[in-house]
Amino acid sequence: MNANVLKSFFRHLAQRNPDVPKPRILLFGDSHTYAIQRAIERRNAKGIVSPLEAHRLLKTKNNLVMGDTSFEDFLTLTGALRESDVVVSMIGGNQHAVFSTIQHPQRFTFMLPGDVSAEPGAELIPYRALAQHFNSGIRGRDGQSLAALREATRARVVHLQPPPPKRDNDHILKHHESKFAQDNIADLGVSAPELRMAFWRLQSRLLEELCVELNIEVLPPPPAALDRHGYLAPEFYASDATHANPSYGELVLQQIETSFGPAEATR
Amino acid sequence: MSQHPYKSLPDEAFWRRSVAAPAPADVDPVGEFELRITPDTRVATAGSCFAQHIARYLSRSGYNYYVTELGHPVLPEAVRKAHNYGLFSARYGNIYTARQLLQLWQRAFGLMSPTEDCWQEGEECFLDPFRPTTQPGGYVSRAELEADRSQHLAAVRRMFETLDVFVFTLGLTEAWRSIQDGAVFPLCPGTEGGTFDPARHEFYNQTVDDVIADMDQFITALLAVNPTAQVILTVSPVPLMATAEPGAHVLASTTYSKSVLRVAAETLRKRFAAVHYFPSYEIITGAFNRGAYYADDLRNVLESGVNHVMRLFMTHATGGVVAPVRQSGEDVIARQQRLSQELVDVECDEIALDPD
Repeated sequence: MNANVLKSFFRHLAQRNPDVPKPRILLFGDSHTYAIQRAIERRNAKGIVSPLEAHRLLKTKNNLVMGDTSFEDFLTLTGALRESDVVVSMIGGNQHAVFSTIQHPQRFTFMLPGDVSAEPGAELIPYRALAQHFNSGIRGRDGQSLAALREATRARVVHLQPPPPKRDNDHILKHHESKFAQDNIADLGVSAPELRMAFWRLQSRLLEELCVELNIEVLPPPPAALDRHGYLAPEFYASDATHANPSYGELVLQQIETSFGPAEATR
Repeated sequence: MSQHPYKSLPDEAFWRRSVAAPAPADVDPVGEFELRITPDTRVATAGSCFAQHIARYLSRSGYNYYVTELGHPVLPEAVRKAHNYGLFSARYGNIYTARQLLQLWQRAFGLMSPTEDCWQEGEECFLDPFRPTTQPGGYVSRAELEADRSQHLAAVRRMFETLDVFVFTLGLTEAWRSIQDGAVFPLCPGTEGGTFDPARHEFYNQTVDDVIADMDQFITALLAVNPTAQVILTVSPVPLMATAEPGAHVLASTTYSKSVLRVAAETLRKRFAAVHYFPSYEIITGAFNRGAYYADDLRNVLESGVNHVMRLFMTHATGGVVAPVRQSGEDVIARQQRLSQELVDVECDEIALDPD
C-alpha cells in the first residue's frame, strides 16, 4: 500500500476529536457486500449497533433481482454526506478470480516486484504485459465507478480490498464439480493457490495505484481473517470459490469501528 | 555480324528492357530464386525494421509465419502485440547487424554470456541491453528480466531448430559494442536505456569480411542443428538514421553499409546452396520508381513499396498459390477462459443464496 496514503489515514485517525459528531458511514459494493449485510443482520438480531449502512448494487439477471440500491441512487445518498463522513467502497473485487480459479491449459506464472523466482516449468508472463491487461478491467467499469464516487461526495472515500483467495483447492473443487466437468476442462482442475494469491496481490497493487490517483484511501482485509500465509482463513470461507462469510463481515465491521468509530445508523 | 554472350540473354539482363521501359509496378528484379514455400512451410523472420513488414505480410497472407514466442493466450492479442509478441518469430526485437545475429545464436545456445546484461533505469524498471525496447516499461526486477530472457532464448533455440525457412534482413554495419567482451548492442547505450561510457563502449563498423565471416559462422551453425533449413537474405532499403563513422556523411555511410551487406549477401548465396537472395533493396531503391516508395523523411518505406516487394516475394516463393484461410473453433483455452468468467459471474450472483 502507498505509504503516504497510510500515513495520512492513520494521522487522521489519531487526530479525531471525541467531541466531533460520529461520522455517518455508507458502504457500497457488489457480491462481497453480502457478508457485511449478513453480519449487520446478526448484530441487529442481538441488538448490537453496526457502524455503517451497507448497500449492495441493484441488478436484474435472468429475471432475478439482486441487491438493493442502484449506483446512481447511492451516489445521490453520498452527495448529502459531510466531510467528516465516510464512504466505504467494495466495488468490484473478483477480477483476480477470473484469471486464477480454473487451471489454464497452458500453465503460466508471473512475478510481482520483489519476487525472486517464478514457478518452474510454467510460462512466464511479464508483469507489465499482464498488468496492462488487468488494468483495462480495473480501470474500466470499476474504475469509472470509483471516480464517480469520489466526485459525488465531500466525505472521505475508502476502498476496502476484497478478501484474499482461499488456499484450499478441495474446497473450491467441491463447490464447482459441475463446472469443472464441463467442456474438456475436467482434467485441468483448480489453479495452484500461489497463482491465486499472486493475482490477488496484483489486483490489490493496481487498485491501490488507481485509488492514489483518485485520492481514495485503501483499507486491507481484516488481518484477523488471514492465515499465516495471507490467505483467507478457512473459518471465514463462504461456500464457494471466492467469497467470504458473515463472520468475515463481522471482522470488517469491527475494522470499520476501529478505524472510524461507531456510527449511529445501521441498515 | 559476330555472335556474343549478350545476344542470348533474356530481357531481365538489360536495363532498358527490364528497368527503364516497364511501368514501375511491373519491374521485377527477382532473378534466379528457386526456393518454394507452401502454406505449411514454417517461415521465421528476423532482422532490421524492414523485416517487420515481411513478418506482418506473411502473418496476414495465410502462410505459416512461424512464431515460437507467441505470448501467453491469457493476454488478448492487442496486449501481446503492444508488448512485441509476434513482431518477429521470437521476441528479440530488431537485429540490425550480422554480429548481433551471430551473438543471438551464441547466447541462445549457451556459447556466450555478456557481462553487461542488465540496465537498471528505475526502482522497478530493468532493461535487457540486447532488446531494450521489447518490453514496454521494462521489467519490474532483475529476476524477472533474467527469467524472461531465459524463456526467450529457449524460444529462439526452438525456432532455429525447427524452422523451414529463415528470412533475415541485413540492416546495418555500424554498431556499438562492449570493450570488455565484444557484445554488440542493438542500440547505442544511452539512447534507449543504459549509460554510455567511452571506457566500456566502442564504435564498431563491420567490414565486408566481418559480415561474411559472421554470417558464414551463423549459417554453418544453423545447418548443423537444422540441416534442411533454407535462408533467405534481404538487405534493408531503410537508410541509416545517423552515422557514427568519424568524419562521414550519413549518405556516404548508408551507401557503404548497404554495399557491404549486398556484397556479403551475394557472396553467401554463392557459397551456400541453402542461401537465397531476395532483392527487396533493389525494388525500393531502384531508380525506376523515382523515389516513390519512400516517405517524406526519405527513410521510411511506404506501404506501396512494401506491397511491391511482397507481391513479388509471394509470386516467386509461392508460385502465386493462395493459402487457405485458417479457421479455428473454440479450443480448450477459449473454453477455459469462458468458463472462468462464468464461474465468477455465477458466484457473484448466487452469493445471496449462501447459508450461514
